[in-house]
Formats: sequence, structure tokens, C-alpha cells
Amino acid sequence: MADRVPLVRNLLAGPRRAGGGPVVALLLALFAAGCGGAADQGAEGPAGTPPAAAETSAAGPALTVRDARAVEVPGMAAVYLTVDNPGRAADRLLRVETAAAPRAEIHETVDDGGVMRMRPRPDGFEVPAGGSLALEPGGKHLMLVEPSLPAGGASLALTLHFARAGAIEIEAPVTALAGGPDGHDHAAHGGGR
Amino acid sequence: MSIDLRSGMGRPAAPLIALLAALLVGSGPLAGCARDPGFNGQLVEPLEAVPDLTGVNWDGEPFRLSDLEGRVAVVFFGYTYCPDVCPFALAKMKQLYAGLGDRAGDVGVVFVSVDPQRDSVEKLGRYVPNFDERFYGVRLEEGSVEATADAFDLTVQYGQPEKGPGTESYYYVDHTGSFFIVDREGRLRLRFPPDATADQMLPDIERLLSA
Repeated sequence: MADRVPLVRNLLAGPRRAGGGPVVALLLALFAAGCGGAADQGAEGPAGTPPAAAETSAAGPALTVRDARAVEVPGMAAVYLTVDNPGRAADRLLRVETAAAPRAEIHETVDDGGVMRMRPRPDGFEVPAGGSLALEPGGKHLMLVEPSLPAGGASLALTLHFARAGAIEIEAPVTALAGGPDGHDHAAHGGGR
Repeated sequence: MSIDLRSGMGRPAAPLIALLAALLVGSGPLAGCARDPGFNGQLVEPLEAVPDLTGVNWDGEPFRLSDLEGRVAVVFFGYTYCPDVCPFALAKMKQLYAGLGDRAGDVGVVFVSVDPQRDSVEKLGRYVPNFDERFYGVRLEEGSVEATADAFDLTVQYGQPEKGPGTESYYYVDHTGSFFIVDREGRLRLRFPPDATADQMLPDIERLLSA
């Protein structure tokens, strides 16, 4: 019995073992962080739609996608959204598919000393464990070329493909660009056109 | 103190140092970096007439930037196949117009396409008026983009066309995203970075309107 507990006894030895207390605290923190975290599972998506989530997998709690919205101009659309990853394992957004455009890609705008450069990101974006991936104007985004809204539709349906979570289908309401300095159109949350 | 340049002795001369300092300040990285506490934007120095800019507006009418003299002008560059930067720049201009209220008519908003190959006058006509019909959307002549970029000290770089499934080939255009503010006398006065907000630009523009 003495053989099996010496590690634990040492860790709990407190002040006599300088590294013990903090190590225990760290282990407990890591354990707590891995146990589901504070994922906003009940959050409202845009316009009251529930957030999209993948099936729970062996990697832990599912990814959720929220605040998806599309900005459309003639010939192009950009889609922004946030992916929350409450799990213990990082995931990766790999690609996007949509029937609403013949071409949908993952891109990122980089402000290079005032020169705006947009680049495809064929390797996608990481969704860190216990963190979020945010696609926002002026930064990471999904680019759709020659999009077309479905008849009578005010939103774009897309499928996001993740390395671990697999396919997640989302709806991105098309927002008008009246909005605030960050490009969000607050009016869109109250209902579409 | 006299300098004998023929001597070859290389005596450090205060006038030479002063000349070098003046050159550094007047050009290169230190140029245009002065800040006036009264303005949010970056002062452009030395104060000169804005380079002229000619093309065709989205409504088919010839456009010449010098025709806007008497009004303040906000000039910025981009292209319509830009999904993430240019729509928001135009949206900021909408907010600016909203902030100006009755005075919006005294401010010309000029979006200049640096991609005349794809941005026909007709395409600009489908794009710019969606934001505000009073905005100008200018197509430069295809040969004149480089000269315009030089005149405004812009970077414009075209990506490689990439063919995609089911579409024409697509290419992006790297471009300076700054906003250029021209006063009523046609002088280029201020520069704002791409992430400047309408709230930051509005007081500067109002000050130039009142000047």
C-alpha cells in the first residue's frame, strides 16, 4: 500500500514539498477545464435560432456555432461566425460547402501596414480546446463567390467541415450593412427583410 | 563653418547633417507622421493638391476628382470582388453620411476600383448605389491604375487567378485600405487607416467643412 500512495502523499504534503500544492491545484484546474467547461449551450443564435452543434463524440462535448451571419454584395458574400469548443481536444475548421454558391472558401484578411491582403487558408483554422474560433470582419471569414439566395430566402445554408467534429450545418442570415463600426448589423437581430 | 568638399577629409559638417535630417523628415518613414491634436487623422505633409484622378463614374458620367473642389472628399480604393474589406468601408461611409446629416451633400464619397478588368461601369453601378446613390464609384482606365497608385502612394497587387469549380477564375487584389481626406481647396489633408471608424473621421471632416 505504501507503494501506491507515495506520489499522492507527496503532492498533498503541502508546504514541505514546495511544488506540491501548486501542482495539485494545476491538476484540479486541468481536470475541471476538461469536464465540460462553461460552454454556452443554451445560447441563442442569430434571430433566435438555436446554435448548431455536432453530435457528441469521444473527444468530449460538442462544438457549437453561433452568431453566423452573411454579408452579401453583388457577386460576393462573406460569412462570419464563432465556433465554441468546450472540449479537451482542439479541432480544426477545414472547409465549407454550400449549395448557395459554386465556390466557398476559407479566407483571412491581413492588414499589412495598411495594405489589405486577403489570402485563402487551405489548412483552415484551429478551434482551440476550451476556446473559440471567431470569424469577424477584417479578419478570418468564409468567402462565397457568385452566391445566390434561395427563392424567398433570407439566409444561406452552409455545411462546415471540422477535422474531429465532422460536418455541422448552419444557417447564416443575410444582414444588411447599415451596422455599427464593427460591421455588425444590430437591426438584423430583430428580424430580416 | 565652411565645408571643403574637395578636401576629402570627411569632416562632419553641421549643414550636411541638417540637410540629411531635412531629407529624412521630408520623405521616407517620417513623412506625414505629424499629428495635429485637433485632428484624429494623420496629417499629410507637405500640403499639396490631391493628385487628380479621372475615370468613369458608375452612372456612366466622366469623373474627375478635381471637379469635387468646393466640397470635402473622402477617397478610398478597392474592388467589388472584395468580400470582406470594401463592403465595410462603404458601410462606414454610410454611417459617415448619417452623421453628417444635412451636410452630407458637401462631402463627396469616392470609391475607386483598382480592378478595372472585372469592375465595369455597369458592375460598379450594381454595387455602389446599394450603399448610397450619392457615392461615386469610379472605374479607372485600365492603363492608369499604376499611375494612380504611384500618385497616391498606394500598394496595388493582383493575385494569381485561380479557377474554381463552376465559376470563372477568381483573383484577389491586395490594396491599400486607407481613407484619403481632401479639403475644399482640393488639397490632400489627412489619411486614416483601414480600421478607422466613421466616428473618428466625422469630426475631422466637419472641421474641414467649416474651414
